[in-house]
Amino acid sequence: MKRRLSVASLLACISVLLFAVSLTSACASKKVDTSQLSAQGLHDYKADQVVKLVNDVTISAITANKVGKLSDDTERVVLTINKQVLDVVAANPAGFKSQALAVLKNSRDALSLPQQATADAYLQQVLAILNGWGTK
Amino acid sequence: MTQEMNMGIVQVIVAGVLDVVRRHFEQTGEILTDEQAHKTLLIDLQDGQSTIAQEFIAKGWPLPQ
Repeated sequence: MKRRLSVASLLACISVLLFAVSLTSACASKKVDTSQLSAQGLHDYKADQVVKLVNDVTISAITANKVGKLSDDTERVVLTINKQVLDVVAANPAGFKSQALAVLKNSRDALSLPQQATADAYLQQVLAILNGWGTK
Repeated sequence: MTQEMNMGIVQVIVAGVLDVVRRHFEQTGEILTDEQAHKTLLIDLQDGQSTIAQEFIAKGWPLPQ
């Protein structure tokens, strides 16, 4: 009886260990090895990091609008600029930075000052994303 | 004798668990290929464009150029 109990306890410990491992691995960020990429592949990979972050800003603006923290007008401005930035990235994944920054600057300059003030929380994020591209 | 058999079974189980753990952590270091990088970029671009388009349609706004 005693021996059965100890084996059962050991099996229980193993189960807990397996659960902990699967939980840890699910929470841990997945490493990506980019060493096999060509120059073009690396451009695609880095451009994708920018796209993912821009998409996060899009979702953030949509969510803020849904909960009443962002007006329809400002949401529309932010989403329009994000779409233009995505278009620029799609057209030239290897060298979109200067053109995307120009799109962002021109679009922001075209806004009224109150619109700039409310949209800046989002546009500054996009600006930081674009400025950070190519530096890592 | 029975105790030795039990210990043998336990050792096999532990070795199996350790093997599973080792394989799992070996697989977490994904090696990215050019094709995968390009495909992921296209998917994320499409995803972002689609999210924006859906929001514009839901709001009844004309789609941005």
